Amino acid sequence: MTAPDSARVRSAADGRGSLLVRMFFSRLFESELMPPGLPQVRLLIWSAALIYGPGLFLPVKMWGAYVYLARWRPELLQPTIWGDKLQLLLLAMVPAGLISLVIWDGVFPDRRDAHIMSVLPIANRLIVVARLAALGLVLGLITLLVGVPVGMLYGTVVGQYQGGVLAAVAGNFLSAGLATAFVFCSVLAVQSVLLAVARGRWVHRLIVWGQFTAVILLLQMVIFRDVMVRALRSLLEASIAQPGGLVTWAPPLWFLGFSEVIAGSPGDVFRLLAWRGIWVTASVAAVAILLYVVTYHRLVHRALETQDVPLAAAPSLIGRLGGQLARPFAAARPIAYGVLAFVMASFARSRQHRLLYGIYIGVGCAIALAGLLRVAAMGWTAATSPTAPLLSVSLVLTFLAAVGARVLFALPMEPAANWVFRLTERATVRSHVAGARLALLLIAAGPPIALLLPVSIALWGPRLAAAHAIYVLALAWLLAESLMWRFGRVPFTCPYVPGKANVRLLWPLYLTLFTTYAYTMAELELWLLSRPGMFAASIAFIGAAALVVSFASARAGRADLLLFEPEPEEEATTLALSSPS
Amino acid sequence: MLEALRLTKYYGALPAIRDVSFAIQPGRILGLLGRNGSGKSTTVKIVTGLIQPSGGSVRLDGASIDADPIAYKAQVGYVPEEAHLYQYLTGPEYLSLVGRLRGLPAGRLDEKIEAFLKLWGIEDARYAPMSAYSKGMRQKVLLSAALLHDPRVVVFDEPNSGLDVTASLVLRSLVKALARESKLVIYSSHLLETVEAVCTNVVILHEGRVVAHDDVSRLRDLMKMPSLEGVFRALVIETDVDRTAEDLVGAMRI
Repeated sequence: MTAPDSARVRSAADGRGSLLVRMFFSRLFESELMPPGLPQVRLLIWSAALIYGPGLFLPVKMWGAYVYLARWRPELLQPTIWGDKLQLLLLAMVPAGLISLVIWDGVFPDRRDAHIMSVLPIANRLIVVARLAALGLVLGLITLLVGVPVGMLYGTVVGQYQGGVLAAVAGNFLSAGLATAFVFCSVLAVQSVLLAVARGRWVHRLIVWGQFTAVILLLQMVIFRDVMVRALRSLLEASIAQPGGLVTWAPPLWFLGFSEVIAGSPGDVFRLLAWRGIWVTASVAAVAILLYVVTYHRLVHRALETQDVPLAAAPSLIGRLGGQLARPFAAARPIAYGVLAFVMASFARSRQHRLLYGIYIGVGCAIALAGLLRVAAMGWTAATSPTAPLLSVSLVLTFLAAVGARVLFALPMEPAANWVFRLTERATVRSHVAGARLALLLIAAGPPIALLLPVSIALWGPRLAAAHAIYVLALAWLLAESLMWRFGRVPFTCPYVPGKANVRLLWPLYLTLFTTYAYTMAELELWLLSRPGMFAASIAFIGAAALVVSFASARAGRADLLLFEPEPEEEATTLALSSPS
Repeated sequence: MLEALRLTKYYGALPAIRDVSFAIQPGRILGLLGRNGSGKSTTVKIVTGLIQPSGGSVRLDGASIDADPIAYKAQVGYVPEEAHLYQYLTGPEYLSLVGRLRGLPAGRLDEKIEAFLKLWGIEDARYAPMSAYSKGMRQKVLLSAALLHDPRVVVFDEPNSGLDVTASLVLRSLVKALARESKLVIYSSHLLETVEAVCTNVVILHEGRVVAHDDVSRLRDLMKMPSLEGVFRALVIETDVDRTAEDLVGAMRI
């Protein structure tokens, strides 16, 4: 090969590399949940910004506090700065964790990727490097997103009290970058190990449930960050007073130490923590890359030489049990049962829907936990009889699960496959919607009741526990009927159109509805539990209200046939400009 | 009798089909032939009631299907060209969904599903999601879904896609057996030999219009051609296929 030839080949390879990086970067955010053409990266940035939102306002709040403390309580200034830095670091770690869970499916090649890429004359090494570069690009974006705005804002505020503005800005930005890299690479390493060793449906299901749990836990980190910050700060202060202890085992403290060292804070503890942070993050990154390479080759080999899912897989026990239990319903109402089974199977098997559902459940768990902490403060003996905070736990979870499920019903799954519903339509919108409504009720009320019923039986005895379950179920029914108002479609079968909930304008209304449902109704239940007659009448009233809503909803429905396209805007919104008449 | 009367369909300003008319009697098999983009799939979708024509109508026993589209759809079985399926469902789950949506009683539906799985030889894959199925297995599920409710009108759009030789032969016999059951069968395909072997009548579409509609043997006689391929070449293929093949080899060498 002549010199110009080899230069041309090299240049072509370089071009292929950047093309592959761009392609793999897009694949990371590929999702059928998103409408085509929506800029996925912008969506990612907005989602992360939403989670990281508090971080943008905190420096302003902290500035006032620092001015006060520097003048009146200088001994508290340094510990307060540590606490605030920890808070910002926790807020930076959460989006990194959530984004790495969201892009999980696109990180490694699936069967389609393996078959497409393997026939191309591209070295595996180039593909792996391009994939890692795409992941690096995502990490870079997260770091810029969480590091630059807050790093500059907070650095400007705290720099006046600690090592100068420039050092403070650099310290905050770099420590946030190190923290996000640690989380991102840790998830990547764990994913690599799990996918390399995972074989069989059960392991894959466990991985999905693990992701679901991780989303919930990450959200707890945002909501309970004050509690975590207090604990971490105590650990740090104890370690400064008496070196040693658990301080080197808490990752957020490593990155705090790193920030403090750059800001010029004295102390061996910070140097120790900073080195631990650098060393562990570098090691995790190296291990993640190594594991990625190994797992990549293993998965490609597996995709090309074996079936992704064994055809002779065993039936699911839950599915079999559910099928047996639902047999009478299936015989009596085949269409409603068909839709119910479709919705439940779809919901249970879509990882993306479950992750998004996990966000709602995560918020619900955090709110419920806050209520339980109030009970714990009174001593656990207070839990042996029903109180409003205890009763509200099921209602909080049910409300958020129902709202989450209803939102997710609008996100499509394999939308091109909806032709089967179009073709089999039999003017039975009510039956279709009845199946969807029952699915919503099962998704919303099923898990909270199933999980909390044994606990409430143990705490309050079977009679009160059963009464509570009936009350939760009745309210969930009314809620499900209200949420399915004029639904007229089969969940997951319509293209997604964002922005109908108008949260920005209507949030006071939603908040009022939530507090009424979760807390006012819990107070009412507490009052009713000691009046059996009134309790029975209330259940009958809620049931009647649900039936009225159901009937009114069916009458107000826009079509006799199922809807498969997004509903047209109201005339008031569009000013009927598109109408020919 | 199923009649398509002057069917016209525009996608925006673009005409997909214009004045497409044909009729089919019970027990007959109508083949739809045409190049890519000739309007076969649009015609099939209109005949199945999935899309509305811009003009013209489809009539079953003299009554427009628009009069009661739901009642009409209940009599149609459809095997689509592209296997868009809910691939996270297992084959039996998908068939069960379709059967229930069609209102089939549970016990009978289970029996039917069991029989279809067994006859197609895919009963071992009953607990695996269809994402793990081969293309042929998915096609077998689609074929079963189209026949579950014993339809009067059966529309096949490229049904051979992904099927192995045995299954293709079974399908060929199945189509003939359906005709013997007095079903109205429409069979759209690119495979000229299959259409010739299976269909009693044929409609050839070209650029959205019907260029031939007749009994297969009479069409051969009229055109004085030994096979349907000859008829198709004479009516539809404007390019010199051998020359195009040579040009493709040339393009490969650029």
